[in-house]
Amino acid sequence: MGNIQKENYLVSNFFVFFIIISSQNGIGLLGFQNIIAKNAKHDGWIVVLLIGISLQIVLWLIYEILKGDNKDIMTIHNEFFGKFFGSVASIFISIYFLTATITVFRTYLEIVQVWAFPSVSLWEISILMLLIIYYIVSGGFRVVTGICFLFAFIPSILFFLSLYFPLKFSNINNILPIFNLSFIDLIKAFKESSSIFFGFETLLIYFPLVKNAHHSKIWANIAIMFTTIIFTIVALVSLTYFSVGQLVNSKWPTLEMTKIMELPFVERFEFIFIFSWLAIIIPTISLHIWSISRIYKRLFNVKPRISLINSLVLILVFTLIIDNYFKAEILNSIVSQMGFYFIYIYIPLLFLIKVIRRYH
Amino acid sequence: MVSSKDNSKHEFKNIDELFSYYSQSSDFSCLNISERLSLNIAYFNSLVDEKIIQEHVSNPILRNHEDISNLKDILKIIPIKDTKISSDIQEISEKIIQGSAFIYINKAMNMGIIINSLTISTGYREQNDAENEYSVIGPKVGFVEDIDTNLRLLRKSLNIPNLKFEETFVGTTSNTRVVIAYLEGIINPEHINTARQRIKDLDYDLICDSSLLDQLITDNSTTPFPLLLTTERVDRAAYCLINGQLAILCDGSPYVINAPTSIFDFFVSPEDYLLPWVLGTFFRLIRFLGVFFSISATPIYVAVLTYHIAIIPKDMLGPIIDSRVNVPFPPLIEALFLEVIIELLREAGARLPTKVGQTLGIVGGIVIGQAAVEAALTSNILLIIVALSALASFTTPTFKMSNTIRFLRFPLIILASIWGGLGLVAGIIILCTHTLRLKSFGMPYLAPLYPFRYSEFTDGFVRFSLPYIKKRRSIFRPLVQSRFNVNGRKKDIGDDFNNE
Amino acid sequence: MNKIFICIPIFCLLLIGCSRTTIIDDVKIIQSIGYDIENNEIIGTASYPVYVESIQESHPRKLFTAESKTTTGVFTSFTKQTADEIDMSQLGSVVIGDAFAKNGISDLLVNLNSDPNIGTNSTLIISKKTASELLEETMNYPPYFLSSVLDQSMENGNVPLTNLHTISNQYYRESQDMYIPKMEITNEGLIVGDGVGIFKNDKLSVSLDNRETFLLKMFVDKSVYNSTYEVTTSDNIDLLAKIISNKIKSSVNNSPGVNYKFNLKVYLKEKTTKLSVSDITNRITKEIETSLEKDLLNLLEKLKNENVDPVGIGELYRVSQRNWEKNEFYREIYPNIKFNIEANVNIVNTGAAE
Repeated sequence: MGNIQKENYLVSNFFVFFIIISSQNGIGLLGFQNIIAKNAKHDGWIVVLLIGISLQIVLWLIYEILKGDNKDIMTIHNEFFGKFFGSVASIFISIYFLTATITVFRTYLEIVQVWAFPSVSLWEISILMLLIIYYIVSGGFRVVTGICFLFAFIPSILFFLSLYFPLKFSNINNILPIFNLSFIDLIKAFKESSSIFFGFETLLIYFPLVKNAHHSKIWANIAIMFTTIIFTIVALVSLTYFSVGQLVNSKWPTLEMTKIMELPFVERFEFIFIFSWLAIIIPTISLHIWSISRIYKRLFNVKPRISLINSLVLILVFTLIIDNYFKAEILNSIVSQMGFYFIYIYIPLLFLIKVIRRYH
Repeated sequence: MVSSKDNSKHEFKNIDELFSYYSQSSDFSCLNISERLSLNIAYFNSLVDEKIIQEHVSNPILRNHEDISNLKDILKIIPIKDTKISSDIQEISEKIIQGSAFIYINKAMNMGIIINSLTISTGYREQNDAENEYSVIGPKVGFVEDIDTNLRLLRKSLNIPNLKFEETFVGTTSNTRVVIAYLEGIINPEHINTARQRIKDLDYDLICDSSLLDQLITDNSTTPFPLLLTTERVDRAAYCLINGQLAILCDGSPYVINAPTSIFDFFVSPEDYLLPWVLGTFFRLIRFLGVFFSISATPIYVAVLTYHIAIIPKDMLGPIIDSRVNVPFPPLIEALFLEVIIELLREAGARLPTKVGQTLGIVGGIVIGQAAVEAALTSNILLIIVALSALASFTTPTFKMSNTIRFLRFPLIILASIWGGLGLVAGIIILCTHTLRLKSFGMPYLAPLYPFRYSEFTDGFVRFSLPYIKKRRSIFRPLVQSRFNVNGRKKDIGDDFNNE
Repeated sequence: MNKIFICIPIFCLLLIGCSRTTIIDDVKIIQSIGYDIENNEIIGTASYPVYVESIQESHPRKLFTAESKTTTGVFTSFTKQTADEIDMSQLGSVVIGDAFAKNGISDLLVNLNSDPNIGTNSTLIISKKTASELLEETMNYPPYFLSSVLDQSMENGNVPLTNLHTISNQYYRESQDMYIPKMEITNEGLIVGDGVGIFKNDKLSVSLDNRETFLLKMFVDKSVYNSTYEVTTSDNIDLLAKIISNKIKSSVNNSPGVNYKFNLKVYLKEKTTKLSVSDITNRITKEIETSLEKDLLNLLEKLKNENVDPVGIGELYRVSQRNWEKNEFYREIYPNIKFNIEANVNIVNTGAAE
């Protein structure tokens, strides 16, 4: 069953660039150096580069799976697995998105609590952010795309301004000798740190809403290349600025890197950094929640507003349940495992099934 | 469901009833023109110019007395357009109320000549200097309250046959004339249909100004942002028509509504086009800077001083602490206090008679400000910030948008005082979302920023040289995209180096 | 309906928001903290600035000292002694007493790193005697005097660039030892810089004087500008060389040894009129070069004998080998390293007079 969308709900395919960039920014960028330094020591930046390159292949697989007349992942599940198991698979995807959202949300609240407002309670800021997300998502996909478009380049601008200062203290010897790690370390580092790039798999859900969707492939490729370049640059600069021991011992190395900045007007840039990060994660969360309500609308014809409110309430409940740092860490590792299996194992599997079906 | 639209029409059965109802009003006169033919004329003498009746109606009739035997002959004599014989009592009653004179032979026949367009426009201004949209150079021609003058001004500036006017009446008690003007062949017919539909569906009693019409036909009336552009200047309205928008004129109001619009139209001043493009772009950018400063300066002050002391550079710590040392209020109360004082000053200043205004302005502005600092009710740094941001909010050329900018500051201040910098960023996100959701006549409000059209930036943020603004904004979906043809780039004529 | 959902929470939260503010004139902003140790108890001192009309008359005022067994425990004692909240976010410098430094500063460093409020460009200072004495002396100076003095001497003087970030960087790195600048109070009551203290692991072990500090700066700093070096030539002419730029090339050679090659550009000051141009280009340059080489070599040997490595020799070895191990290096290779220093001085200018 194809998916004919009305003309005035579509967005042009050029916006796929911005949507993918926005959906990949999460809080991974703030703390990923910790993970890569633990496993790959000073060659972490090579791991980041390799992950980025591998994602181009995954993106190609996604486009191959979605070839045809404007299908999205729900119709594909129904085709491959039949109606019942197809719905189950789609529900799993929605659970994955929900937990990813909860992780990003909770981790950001953690950062705000530790760095900016030590005495604020979790539910205050949660309610504020959830109200904003409700307002955005209830405007429809075009509003979500608009928000992604407006805030897509904020991390690039922030890093462009702030990466100049750590270079004063950087030391190129930190990343030498190059490629000093064994293959097993590489694989382990790959598996643990691939979660920073995830988020772009929402492409599977909003694919029919893009005009001329198949021509948007080039934009998606450029988007992933762009994020890869930015992440690699940040990883490189962090590795030359901090020593490996320092990275392993700090939770949010990117924020510590911004502590050294001193502009004539602003003494401590990291507050501006943290607060602008709100504008960066809101598009990510809105996109995921929109995807969840879309899944339920297409599967069971649930009114989108109801599933929106449900998801927001669930996020609030889980945020209040996870009330200390250790539980958040556990959730983080669960989500990163889920993501890894989804992207590197499930999607190739779908591709194989499609190829097999074509030859029958 | 009977609406009040239908109730206000009185049903008259014959001329007798009509005249007895109208005669209750002291300005209704019923005269006898000619005894022999027993011709009578009835009109409202407050609406009609009696000189015209004498010169063009009574005199011809009296001169050609012998040739007249029935109403049809009178029709041939009277040299005024739109005269006709009618026996429709409804039409007769409507036309008399709108300023026509009615000639009849005897009442029982229920028939007579309606002589139209006898109204004059005294009591209205003859000219308008458009002081509210002032520009130093350029024509100072503005629309006036009389709609016929306005239509004439518009036709004179766009002298092509494509300009079409469509007339309707709105308002159940005011029966105001409303004209939709558009350029045929350029404007997308969808917009005209939308406008017609919305005006037809309107159910309101008194439309005395186009702003009321604006609020009633707009897409979303709960937003502080103006969705339709109103202007007083003729060149601005003409420019909008060329761009593929339509203009709605309302009788009794010098302001013309342009629809659909995008948000950047509100930051455009006609002076941008009258100066060279480098200067025009520069001043436009300063205007945007002023808007951002005015919205965010006071909230940043409140947020930084209440929560984030670490951001202040070490050298500025001294003066800031020193200025606040005796102030007993937290920065939120201080900021709201000062903002409210400035709003009061503005409101009062708009209503003061001119003689008293100057003195009180000096007292209010300077003395109160100084005294507040001395009495340690506020700090002098905050005073400067608030005054500057009030000033910066008036840089927007359209009055409606500057009101919005002034208003938007208050929610941001409150958000910044509850959650500090996070609240400020949250407020900005909500603002962005709100403007993303707005639609003006169905077109996205934030074009050309979101649905991103690269080629239309030539007239949005910056203003390119005039020959380069050659395409109309595609967001209005005009039928013809390009305005004129440009043959290649113009080389500088005085190019010595290559020619010597 | 939507508006009700939005309005009610905001009204409630308006009331809540008033309770956790840190309004700027209601808090005491701490500018420096000092740590001393006495009988296994940590004594903390803090000073905060008081601002009055003119900046000249503003001066710091000292909070009472407090004792505790942990480094952060002193803060709770501070809050007992003041009517306002204390706020650490504008911290300028941390002063460490001599005895405290010899006892180990790893706890302090970890605490300073994990507190997000403290900026990483605050400076650490070792005081020659006790920290509270140094802080008492700063009460006669404008606010943030200590950190400004040190910042200035790092940019334009003879002290290598250090702040909380570089120190933590070196602490966590296995191949380099920490160095922290020292300050003392002279007999006339002036606060002056007094060289640099070098740490082994986390305890203070060696102190260098002013001249040796300058030589250390030549090794470790990326840009050396306005530092001065005094030379006495063989015929007793005193010269002052002001260094404009400095480029180092370092390499490791096979017999355990390190080669350093310096390219310096200097302005020559304090020259007497007896020197001619050919003198300057040949003899004086050679003299400065030899003197510099000798001094640098002496410094490296001294550091080698004390078994500390602030310059980063271990780092050079780690870069060139695939399996570098810290303990093995410092036990076996480092004591036998031979240094080879070569300096090229280019006297760019001698001033405007002939």
